[in-house]
Amino acid sequence: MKIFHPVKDPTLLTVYIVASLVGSFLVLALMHKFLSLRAKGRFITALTFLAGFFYSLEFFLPAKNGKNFLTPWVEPVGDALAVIGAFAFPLGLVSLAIVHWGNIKRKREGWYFSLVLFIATIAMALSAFLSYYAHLSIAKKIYSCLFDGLYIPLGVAMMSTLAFYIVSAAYRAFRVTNVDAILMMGAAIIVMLGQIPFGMWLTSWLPMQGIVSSLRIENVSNWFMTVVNMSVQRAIGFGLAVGGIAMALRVWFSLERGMQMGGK
Amino acid sequence: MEWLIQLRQIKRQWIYLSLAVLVALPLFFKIRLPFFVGPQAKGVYEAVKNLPEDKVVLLAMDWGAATKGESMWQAQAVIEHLFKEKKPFVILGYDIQGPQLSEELAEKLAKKYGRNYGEDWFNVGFITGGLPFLQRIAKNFQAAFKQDSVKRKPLSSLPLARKVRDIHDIGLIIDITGSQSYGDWLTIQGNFKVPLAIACTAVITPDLYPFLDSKQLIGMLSGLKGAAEYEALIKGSHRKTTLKMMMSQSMAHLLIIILIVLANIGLYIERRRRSG
Amino acid sequence: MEHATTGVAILELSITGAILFSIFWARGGKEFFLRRIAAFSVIDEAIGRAVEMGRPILFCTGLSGLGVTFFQALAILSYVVRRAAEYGVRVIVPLFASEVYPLTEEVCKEAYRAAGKLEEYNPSDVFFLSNDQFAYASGVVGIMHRERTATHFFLGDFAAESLILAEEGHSVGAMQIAGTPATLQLPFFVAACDYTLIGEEYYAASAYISREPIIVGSIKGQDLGKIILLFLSLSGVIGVTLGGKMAIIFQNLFR
Repeated sequence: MKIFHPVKDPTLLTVYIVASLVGSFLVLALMHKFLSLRAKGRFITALTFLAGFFYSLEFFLPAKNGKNFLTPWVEPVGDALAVIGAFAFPLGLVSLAIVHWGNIKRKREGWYFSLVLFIATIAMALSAFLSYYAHLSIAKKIYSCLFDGLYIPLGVAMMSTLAFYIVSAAYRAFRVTNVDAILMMGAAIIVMLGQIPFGMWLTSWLPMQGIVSSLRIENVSNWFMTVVNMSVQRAIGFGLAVGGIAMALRVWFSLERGMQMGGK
Repeated sequence: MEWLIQLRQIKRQWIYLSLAVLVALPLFFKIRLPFFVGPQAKGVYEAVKNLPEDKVVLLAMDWGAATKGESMWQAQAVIEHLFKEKKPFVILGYDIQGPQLSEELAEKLAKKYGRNYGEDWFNVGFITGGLPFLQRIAKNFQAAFKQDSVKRKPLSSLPLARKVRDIHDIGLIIDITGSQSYGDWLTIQGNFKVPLAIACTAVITPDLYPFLDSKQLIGMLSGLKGAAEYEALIKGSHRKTTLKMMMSQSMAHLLIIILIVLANIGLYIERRRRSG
Repeated sequence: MEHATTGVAILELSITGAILFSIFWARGGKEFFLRRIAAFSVIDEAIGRAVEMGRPILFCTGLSGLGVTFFQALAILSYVVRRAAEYGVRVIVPLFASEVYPLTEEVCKEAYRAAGKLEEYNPSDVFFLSNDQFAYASGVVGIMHRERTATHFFLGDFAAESLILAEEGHSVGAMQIAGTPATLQLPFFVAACDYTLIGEEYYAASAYISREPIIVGSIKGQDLGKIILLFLSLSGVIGVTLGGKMAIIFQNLFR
């Protein structure tokens, strides 16, 4: 669609950007001043409905060669929504800055950690910008130290602690107190053994072919995963999908009153 | 008998220490046990082997450093197989780190197999925008990317990139993921009927069996076991390492089973004592 | 698929129709029965625990961005914050996605206003923490230990960090209620938390708490939708098993 083609002329582009920002600000300011809380709520409800209606209509309308009259609008609308979402990103940074600046200003307990946050954020951002745009080697070294030397190993370390937590959680929680628990425990042990060489070794004396081969632990484990687990996952998936549709309908028609402005 | 009841209350610190020691043991001592390859890994292997000559493989590296323990080994095995079979591929990913970490793997393996960037593979890096962006790539790959992420040159300057115009030039998608990004790739598979295989962390695999059953997936690599299976199939350079790591995983699983049994013995004896 | 085929359109419109029908039926005065869900029954008890211990509540929405999962968590958050505000207990809400911050802040403020305690609302209790999964998990664990939170709510989208949060929460002795549509994380929550919402129980939260007819009606509609799917699945199984024309019809129903 021509209206959404990228503008190459820098002057025209600047004019468009400034006009959009000023225009949006004016519209929002006027709405904030003149509309009551209830009217604002109704406006949000109408906008929510239109947004959902657009995508639903585009999906359900018959398509010729994969297109109906709404299809050319899908991409630009998606881009517009992504841009609106991107405006929300600084909100998070502002919230973080306000909270931690407050900690430093009032010298609350652990205020030095808030100082570390600011130093780390600025160091990472500056080194990344300088190494990418100015190609400074010292900036590249700092960025590499912070990203490859600190950020990546920290993520890996946190993920590694999961192994310990799984063991302690399993030890604490898995108590065989009734028939259901016995069945669950049996299935869990078989599946766990079926994943590891030790388990495969236990039944390696059974033939690889023929009916008896289905008793090999890796085959039994595979049966649990591809038959029992798969059907249960499908069942839960159906339930969640229908639940998701119901929830989406409630959001689309703004029936979740608690989240509306002026709602109860 | 008191000590049996105490088995229910082993301190966390002892459990963690046992786990650390047992997981480390196979890395220092050779323990050889049989290892068999499952049908899901064979599906991925056959798909790569039977890829048509004029098609390219799309590697979606949707993993980061956090899932390196599983995803990196899968990525390494898949890339080595592609280099061995001389199948061209393109790397991209939803995770910022994935394409970057995979590029390091590809460059190391490329030296071993004499492969060249731009001719045998290229990397367009981190992608954002979710499913709408994937739809855009599927319709016009060249228009979706200004440049590649390694040389930072226009795609038209890379011989292999010139051959990838849209989804019809892609013969296979392999999504190596540590998250649930596969939903978008399943949609692409459904829309354009491109074969799709997923290599994921072990915790995600139960979710994927329905898609294997409905033939939306032609194969799956499940966690470190999947990586070890694939290395065994391709007779890769890291098959001994992945098998060693599988032994470590065996130790962890065995510890969990033993601890559960001990705890339940303690519980049973305590109950008997109470009712007796 | 990019556009609905006839089969998909009929199926989707049937399920949507069933849900809308139930909503209008409920609006007309029909009362529907909701079975007891343990996790919801103890929300007040969980809040009461925090009141007795004089320690704050932690409400963690996980990795939820702006979507239906988050809106559901918000519905429960609104109730929890209102009840907590009535008793003067803080609710700490660390957020993963920055775009949900204004909405969450607004919901919490409204809840305090509804409880008549707007002056006690502390804006720094609702804050953006990090949009990196494990940085977020580390931050939440830090909050648990520093603030010594008495009750934890884990409601939203979770991934691998679910077990870290639940185990650490258990280690500080907190009462924990969890719920997520991410089925892969449910085993970890079931093992480490006191109460867990499984599957679509999570989506029934706002109906259970508010008992508003429209929302209860939509839960009933979900059941009707599931009956439609069940009927379709059974017919498909029988049809494909019988083979011949029936098998072809069912196999191509949604193509």
